[in-house]
Amino acid sequence: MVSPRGHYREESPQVANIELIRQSRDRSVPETGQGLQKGAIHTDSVSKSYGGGSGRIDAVGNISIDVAPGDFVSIVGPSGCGKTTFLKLLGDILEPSTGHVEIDGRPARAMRKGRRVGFVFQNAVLFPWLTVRENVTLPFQIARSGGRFRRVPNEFLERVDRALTTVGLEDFGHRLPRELSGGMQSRVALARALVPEPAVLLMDEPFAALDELTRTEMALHLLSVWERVRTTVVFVTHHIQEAVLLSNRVVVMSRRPGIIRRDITIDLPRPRSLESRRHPLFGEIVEDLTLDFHLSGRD
Amino acid sequence: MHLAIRGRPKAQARNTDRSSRRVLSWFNQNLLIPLAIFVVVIALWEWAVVAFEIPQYTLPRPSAIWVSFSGESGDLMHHTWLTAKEALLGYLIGNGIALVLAALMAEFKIVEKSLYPYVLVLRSLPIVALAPLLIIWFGFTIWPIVAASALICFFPTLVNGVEGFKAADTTMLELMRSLNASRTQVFQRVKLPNAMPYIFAALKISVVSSMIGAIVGEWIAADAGLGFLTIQANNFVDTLLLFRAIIAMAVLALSWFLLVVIIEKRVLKWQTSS
Ligand SMILES: Nc1ncnc2c1ncn2[C@@H]1O[C@H](COP(=O)(O)OP(=O)(O)OP(=O)(O)O)[C@@H](O)[C@H]1O
Ligand SMILES: [Mg+2]
Repeated sequence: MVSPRGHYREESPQVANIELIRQSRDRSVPETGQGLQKGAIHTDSVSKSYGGGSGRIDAVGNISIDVAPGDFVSIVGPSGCGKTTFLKLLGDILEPSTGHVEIDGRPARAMRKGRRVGFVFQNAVLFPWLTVRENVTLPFQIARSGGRFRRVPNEFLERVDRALTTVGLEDFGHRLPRELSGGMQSRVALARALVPEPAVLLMDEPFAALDELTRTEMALHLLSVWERVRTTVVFVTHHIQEAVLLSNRVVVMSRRPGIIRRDITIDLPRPRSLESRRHPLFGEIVEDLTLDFHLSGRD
Repeated sequence: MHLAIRGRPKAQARNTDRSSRRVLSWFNQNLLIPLAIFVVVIALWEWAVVAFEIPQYTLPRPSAIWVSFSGESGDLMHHTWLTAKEALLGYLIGNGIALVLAALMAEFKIVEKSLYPYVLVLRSLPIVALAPLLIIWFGFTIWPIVAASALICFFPTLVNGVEGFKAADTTMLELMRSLNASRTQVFQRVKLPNAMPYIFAALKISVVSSMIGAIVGEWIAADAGLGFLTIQANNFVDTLLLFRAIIAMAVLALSWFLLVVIIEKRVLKWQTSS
């Protein structure tokens, strides 16, 4: 298990409730979130090593990065360079070996405990024994019940239904995950991550398991969802065109131990669509990054 | 197979006709051939006993076994019920303790480390050899038999349970951590459901184990029960009685096993059915 002792310490139910009430108030703020600090990430020379002694693996080198609230940043890099590890550091699933992570000026730990950070993994990781709707309700159930089963209040269930509508699955709430296609499953995972309205959404190759067509469809879908909710997204991918199409900014990591090798701004106009790929800048950036990607894999 | 769309119990009454047809086709697919084999084997058996003049104390005719049931079925029920009670108690106690212990061992490293050596030692002991000791402890009641039955169920379930509780998907645990789930919640919502297939595998195996425990226990310390009946039949060379006892055991074990399978199907509805 990744977690050292004490990570499952429980907050008192009141704290959790206050957090939820606060979050539900966020709802009344205009969706663009103007004037509201939403998901500014700041890392200060974080690094991560696995194991110790002779078997030590330095996964993440030394990364200092700032991400503006509401930004969309992609991370690309060769396999095994520490992208997943870095994402886990941002979400406080792992603790950094050195340095620290702050989100909106608070430590990553506090943000995780306040459920302000959403995670989407490479596989949808849906609970096969729960229906689609129950899967999306899970974040609320965990927030409400101090280990006991209790009914989730209607206002939250309404938010679950809204999230399902957002990802176009309003008619599939009663299905079991195995009855859905791969693309639909990743949309459920997206809905589950979005339903607590996180300040930061961390996505680790969320579409890697999908075929190319579905993958593009999902990218466009994510684009439209993000343009509505405008939470900060950090998106790990191997797919350079996907990264360029989606992001404001693409970060290229070096080989292990991963450090930032390049950090470029994508100035393609928004809102973006499939048409954006026709933009002359698109091909140029993709070309440039592809070269760089291969170089970073070699040296 | 049928798609499990939850939360729609209505429209069932209207479908009885369709469902009875489904039962029929299920029967045709799964039971027709085994049943035919059964009939053929019984017929061959009946014929062979007559043709080769096999004496009844070696192998009675199926029809003779069938007829002999009518005389003293009440007595047989009494013995069956006793064995069922012993085996069921052993089953519940053995599996219950095993599952609680498995959860503790999977959840707390200290518990696992301190208990595992004992588990290994106890597991390598032939439980049947403990029966005389159990009699000394519990006296000539049903309890040494229940204990033997419980002990035989215990270890496979413990091992399977520990494995099941530990088999939870790492990413699922990371997801729970990102949601700031408590340890209890992680157990309830991830580890327990995840262990269910493992647990049911053990619960099915231990149906037979608990019966073996009860029967062997009766051989050693009982004056009633199906195990006792087989010993008595042996002493009096009453082969008909032996067959009646064996058939009663088979019916008991089979219906019990089917019950567990039905419960499993309900609990594990979410699993992909082939
Ligand atoms: N739990 C762990 N224990 C030990 N080493 C690990 C662990 N997780 C990852 N590593 C190692 O750390 C390095 C970085 O792994 P990480 O999964 O972060 O890479 P990645 O960039 O996400 O790779 P990929 O593109 O293949 O997903 C790899 O060499 C990997 O073997
Ligand atoms: Mg990875």
